[in-house]
Amino acid sequence: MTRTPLGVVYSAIPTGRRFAHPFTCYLSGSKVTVSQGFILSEGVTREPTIGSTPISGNGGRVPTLKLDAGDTENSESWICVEVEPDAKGLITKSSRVEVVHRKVPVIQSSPTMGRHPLAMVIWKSGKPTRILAITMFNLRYHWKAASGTGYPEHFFL
Amino acid sequence: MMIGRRQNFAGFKSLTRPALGADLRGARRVKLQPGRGLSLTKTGLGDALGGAEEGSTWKHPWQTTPLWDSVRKRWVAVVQPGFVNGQAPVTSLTIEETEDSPCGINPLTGERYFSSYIFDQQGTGKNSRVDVPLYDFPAIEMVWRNVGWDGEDEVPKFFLDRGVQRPKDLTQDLMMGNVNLADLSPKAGNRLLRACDLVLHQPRRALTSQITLEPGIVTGVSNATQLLGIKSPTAGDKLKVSAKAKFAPSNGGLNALLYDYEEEPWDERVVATVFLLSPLHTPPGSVPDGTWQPFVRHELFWNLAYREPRFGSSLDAGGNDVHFIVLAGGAAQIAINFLTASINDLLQQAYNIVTANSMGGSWWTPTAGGADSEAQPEITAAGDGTKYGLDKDSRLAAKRKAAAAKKALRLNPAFPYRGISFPEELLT
Repeated sequence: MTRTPLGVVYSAIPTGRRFAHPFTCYLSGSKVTVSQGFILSEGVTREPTIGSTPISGNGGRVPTLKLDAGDTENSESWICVEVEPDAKGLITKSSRVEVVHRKVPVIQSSPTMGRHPLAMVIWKSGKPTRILAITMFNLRYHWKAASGTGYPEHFFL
Repeated sequence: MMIGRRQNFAGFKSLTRPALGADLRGARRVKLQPGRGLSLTKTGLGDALGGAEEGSTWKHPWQTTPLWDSVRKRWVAVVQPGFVNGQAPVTSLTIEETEDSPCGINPLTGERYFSSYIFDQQGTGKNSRVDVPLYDFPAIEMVWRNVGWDGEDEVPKFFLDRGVQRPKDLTQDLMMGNVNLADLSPKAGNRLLRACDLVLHQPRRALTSQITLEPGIVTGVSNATQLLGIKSPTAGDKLKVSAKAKFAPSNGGLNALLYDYEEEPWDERVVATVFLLSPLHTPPGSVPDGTWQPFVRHELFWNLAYREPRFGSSLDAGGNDVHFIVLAGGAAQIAINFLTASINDLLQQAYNIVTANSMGGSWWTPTAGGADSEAQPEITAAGDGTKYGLDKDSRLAAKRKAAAAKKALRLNPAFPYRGISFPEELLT
């Protein structure tokens, strides 16, 4: 506390810092809500949905993602975003951009879909106990056409 | 006036209530200004002073905390979990190593590490090794290299400003035969430095290469065939973090005698380097103990994405001299034929092909492709006040400037730290 001619200056030890980042996942019981974040693509910016509702909510209703204990492996599972681009590899307004619960965090190469992890869920005794943030920024999606016998590649950068 | 989030006022703990009250009464008469760590919000009921929230310190992924284990008399590091493609690395420990450790309690869960599921699946012997994921905050024992006076020459400027001296180069003196014993002792105020690299290990497939040579009988030009293949990652190898005295990237090369080559089936990079700075007057060669001061220079700040290149992606499948061979089980080989007139030429061509087709993967930080913040350039802390002669004010100003620069010199960049750029060649 310092008195100056301009006034009293109060200072505190900055013990607390938070980083309020996009795609923050909050665990409540066996349900997860996800803060607003965006997937950027060629000319289109999409907010992922849970079901059909944008993750940040619609009309005051924030959607929740139900976690199923069957979708775990070694007591781990992931909250992921899945993207299904069109045949040219572009995300359109009607493309599926959805937050889902999976036991495999990443799909880098597939005919139709790319997957990127947002958070890891730690399970104990069949119940989710912790959630750890993985994605801390909005994401940009890129698609690379298949070459040879391979599948198209999906990049989140 | 009212105070918001009063219960979290870590900064006010040392103030007695009457003293605080008197100051707040005084504050009504003067303009209230928020200082460091506080925020001021004007409301209909008065001004709300918001404080720093205790216990919510945010740590970035891979943030490393060195700790002195007073039970086992050793330095250990606890690494904030970071992820590669969503997977958390592990570190390999014996059960005994974690049992008596001060880090035996997981600070996040408040439970002993052994309550984690992994301990249910492993042997129960004290010497059994278990892979503990970083999210269970294992204590990683560090191993040290000597830096500075009694070690290697590469001393970061940060530590030169704190009393660490470079090793004395006696080569010239020895050649001239005039070694002075006084030169073998450090100057007054010397501090010793130790360093340890924490290394991220990513298993991957590896490139193999074999060359066969058919000598040309008439022309003197040989026909060479280079067969490229893929080796799987080592069985049981995992994404992990380990401590090494000094990180040395693998530098595989062509075997000039056998004409074969095999990459290491992993990629590695440094997570952070932990430094220990000794107290003054510590004898050279000392082993660090709890009185040494730890510093951490981070190399990673954010979670990572990782990708292996596609095998043979740099080769033209339609070319006459390149043949893709698909083997049973989906494995593949590539045969490349070329003509060579000398062994040097052969090895150079083979080396170029191996380099272009390395299965070494790429890391990047997913930040939507543009939030790459490079470290601030180091600020020179040289405060040469002598050039101002008798100009006292200028000398003082130079001294203050040098002190400020020295204080500003840091081992790590400021938030948002530094990311790894996306390698755009992956898209071509």
